Amino acid sequence: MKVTSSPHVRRLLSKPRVMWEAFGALLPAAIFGIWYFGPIDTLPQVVAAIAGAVAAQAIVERFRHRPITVMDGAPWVTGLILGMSLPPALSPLIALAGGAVATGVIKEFVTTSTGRTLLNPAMAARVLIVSEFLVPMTTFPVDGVSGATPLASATGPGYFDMFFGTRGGSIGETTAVLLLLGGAYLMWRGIIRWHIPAAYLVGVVVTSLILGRDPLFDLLAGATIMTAFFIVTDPTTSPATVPGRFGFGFATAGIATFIRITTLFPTGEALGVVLGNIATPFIDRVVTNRVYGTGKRRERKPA
Amino acid sequence: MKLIQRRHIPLLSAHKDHTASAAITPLAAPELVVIPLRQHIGEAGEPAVAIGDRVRIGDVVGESAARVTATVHASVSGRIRDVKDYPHPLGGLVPAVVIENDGRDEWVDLPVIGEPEHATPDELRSAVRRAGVVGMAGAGFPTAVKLDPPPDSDIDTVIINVMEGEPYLSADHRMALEHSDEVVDGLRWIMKMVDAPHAILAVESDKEDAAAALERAVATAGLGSRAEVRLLPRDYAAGAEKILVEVVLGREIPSGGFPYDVGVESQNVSTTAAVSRAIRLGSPLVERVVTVAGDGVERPGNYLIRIGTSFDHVLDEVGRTGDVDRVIMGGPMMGIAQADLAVPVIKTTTGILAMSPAESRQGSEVPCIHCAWCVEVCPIGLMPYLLVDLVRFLDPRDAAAYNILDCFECGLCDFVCPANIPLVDVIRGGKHTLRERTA
Ligand code: SF4
Ligand code: SF4
Repeated sequence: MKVTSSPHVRRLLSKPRVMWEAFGALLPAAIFGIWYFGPIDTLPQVVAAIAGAVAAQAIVERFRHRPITVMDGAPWVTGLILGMSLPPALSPLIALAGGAVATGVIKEFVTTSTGRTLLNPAMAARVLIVSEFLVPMTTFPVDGVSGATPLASATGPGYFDMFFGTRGGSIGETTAVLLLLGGAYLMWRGIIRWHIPAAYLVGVVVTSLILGRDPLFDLLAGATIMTAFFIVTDPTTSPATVPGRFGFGFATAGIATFIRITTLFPTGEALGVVLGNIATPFIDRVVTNRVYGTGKRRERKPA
Repeated sequence: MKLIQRRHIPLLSAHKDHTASAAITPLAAPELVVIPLRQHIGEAGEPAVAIGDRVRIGDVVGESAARVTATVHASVSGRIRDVKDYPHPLGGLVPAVVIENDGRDEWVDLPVIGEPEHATPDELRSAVRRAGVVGMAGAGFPTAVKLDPPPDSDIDTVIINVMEGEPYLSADHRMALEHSDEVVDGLRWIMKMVDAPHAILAVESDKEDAAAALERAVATAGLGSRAEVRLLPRDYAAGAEKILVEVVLGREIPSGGFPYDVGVESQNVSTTAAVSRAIRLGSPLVERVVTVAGDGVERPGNYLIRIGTSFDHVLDEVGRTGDVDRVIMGGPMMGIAQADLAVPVIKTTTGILAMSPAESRQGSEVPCIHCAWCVEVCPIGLMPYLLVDLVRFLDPRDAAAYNILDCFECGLCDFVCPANIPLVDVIRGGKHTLRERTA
């Protein structure tokens, strides 16, 4: 007889399940981007980013004598998010290196005191790539012609194009509608909660209004939708309580939007997310739930 | 915004359907019963019999003069074969009295109170104490002590707990349904003992038949103006005393406190029926209803089993089948896995589950992904993953600041964890370390 601790039953939603469902939820937007920008210019980067992330994690696990867990889907999601955040026509070698840095260095070694990954690996890798390869990263093709990013240009695309993703931008971040559907799916499955995306979107609108811009444009521009539903919701690097999540989502959106708008770098989101991540362990220690029977008693009507 | 999220976590409720409609059936008594002298919180009893003595059902075999203790009685008639340390379902070895059953089922003359209506609360409490009644939902706190709150506490409500949220278990459900009169009678004495004007029978909404039976019994007993049956939404956690008090009355028991601190006396439904038998019949707690279920059980159901019957005997009687890798005393969420099936059924054995690997769905542990599902489900607002981090990697003393001692090991955090982290096990260990250091 096995003598294990209670509870003696578990829910079926395991970590691989969670990760592969997130991967699946991202795929439609990724496939759209690959098709829209042309597979030749995009598919190699996306595949390279995933390959880099998966391989680097396997190597690190091998050398640190841990079980190889790459098939639980986590590095695949990291690689896919990174690949989707890259501009079309970037060298696949850079994507490969970025993926490898994401899981092999940032996920593995940039950790908190309890060994938890501190920064969103895909976003931290993206920030690194940008600082190393500033020009190829920020030069996005518009209508097949290489030019400055539409965010930097005076006349941006219309709302329609922005919603359906027929605009310039990163490979997988342009199609708001597919990203929203993917996010909705994950919420329906209970894999992500609505708190962080909602706070993030509110944060974008507020920042946009403060800077005197068109909030709808800023909601649909850049990587806002992608970030709100798939990046700031990364569980490892975002806070655990509902109040903590609201604060985190709102503040991260403020930083991210501000950087993106004022510096013209399309990677503003990435930097904002990484800065928000740094605050997460602190938020988790300070913004806790009130424990039953302690502190101020809440008034509640009996059932 | 509610600070503590309360939502129904779908557990494996389907497993209840096997037994919820299974009427209580007596299980044949075994040839040997093993009666541990401690089946409760508090002092163990001293053996009151010697090897070779003849006993009848209801004879005291162990008792103590301490205040917090519970008397134990013979559950069969026969001869004392041994008094020795014996494996206990709560772990370790506990002194026990082994009785050889002579199969005659002779009872002692039971000490009946003539007219309980005219008895004082103290007389009622001594009857409960003589009968060795303890909290039968699992805690095992001596009921006579619980029914004797400090004199300055002003109890305004008795809550009878008919929630039984644990998957598989339906013993309380059947007790409420088939013995509703006994339950309401017990409630009457409980209200008298704690001097409470009002009572609420809290029934989980999947037990509507039991609620209806209790309602009828309340009306028959003429308690209609003082007692009410309340159906509550399904919620596993609300079966826990402190959560139930909060759900029913909107009152919170302070950390480290007791229900009487907020004017409440709470009792489990089976315990309440045992109180009635103790007072009306003078009958000691020598048998109880146990849900026997799981993939490894051929005839799952609710069985009336003598205290001291070995798990092996129970499983032989109900039929073993299939591939069983663990046997649990209690429910799957809070029960205790047994190493040795020679252990006896005790007063707090709510269930015996013979589970297959497919049922328990255990997985191997992977690193925490910080999804915070554990935080969302914790019914008392703890941060389980943080407690585990603190206990494992940092200093368990820090975990005290995050209220680790308030965890009542409901198992919800562990149940939802996608990384299969043994949260309850680690938290339990952390609590233990803390208590040892402060002791
Ligand atoms: S549920 Fe498990 S994986 Fe998620 S935060 Fe809690 S301990 Fe970590
Ligand atoms: S076992 Fe403890 S920490 Fe986990 S959910 Fe229950 S009360 Fe909270």
